[in-house]
Amino acid sequence: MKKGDNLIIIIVAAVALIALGITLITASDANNKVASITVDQRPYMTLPLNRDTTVTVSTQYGSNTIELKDGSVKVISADCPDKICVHTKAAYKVGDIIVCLPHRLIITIEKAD
Amino acid sequence: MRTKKLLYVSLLIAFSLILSYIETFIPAIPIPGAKLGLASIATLLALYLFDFKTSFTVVALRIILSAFMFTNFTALIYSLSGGIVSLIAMYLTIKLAKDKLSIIGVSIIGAVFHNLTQLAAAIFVLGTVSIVTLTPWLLFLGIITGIFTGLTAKYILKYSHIKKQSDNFYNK
Repeated sequence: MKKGDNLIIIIVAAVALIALGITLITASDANNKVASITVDQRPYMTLPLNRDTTVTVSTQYGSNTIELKDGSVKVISADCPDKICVHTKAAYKVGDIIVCLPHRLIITIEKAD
Repeated sequence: MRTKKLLYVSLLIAFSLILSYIETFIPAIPIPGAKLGLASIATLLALYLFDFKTSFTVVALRIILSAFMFTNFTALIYSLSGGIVSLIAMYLTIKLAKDKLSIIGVSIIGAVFHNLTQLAAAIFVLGTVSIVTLTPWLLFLGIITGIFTGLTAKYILKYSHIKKQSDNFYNK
């Protein structure tokens, strides 16, 4: 390792921390939150976070089962090859996001209006 | 001596394909766009042993072949953009700061650019900028995976006794 390597690590870590700070500040803790589900850029469903439910999103790309429980959203099962969405931790803050790239599915936590 | 170069390039492509395959068995990092990036060990070796053109061949063939064999075409657009941008970033880093950075620094730059390009591709394909909130995590992961692949490439170069292939080496 040369000195420049440490500099690169410090610079990238600093940028990451700043970016993290910005996302935390913008994600204000609104009480009325909804989980907005889009498939292939089109809105599919919007669910209020304060009601526990389980929905299955089945599209031409595949199906994901989404669970809303105790104010947070989680994908509990999916038939995509990588299962990244299932391993993603539950979303509950505004700005939190769960993505399933193979199924073009995005779940975002948004402020209800 | 063109045969020798052909041999090395074929070996690098085979090596990176095997690494891509092994990576499919490793549990996914739960962030879209982030990968362990084992195959980038081969990219680093190509950049340090050959020129840009040869490295580009290694990266492009690896990504296209692995899309055919192990993944699918949706994955191709992500990996192709990520792979090529990270290759260009690493090449420029070597060109501009070779004396100040070791292969580990170059590898971190490559990993970070790979992750950010995949995020940009995902924003483009999914048509939403909301996933930009993943940026800090992709940067942190880039540091870790970059150190890992850089160290591996460093020790391969150190112990494999392959020397940097100069231009007149294959024109002899």
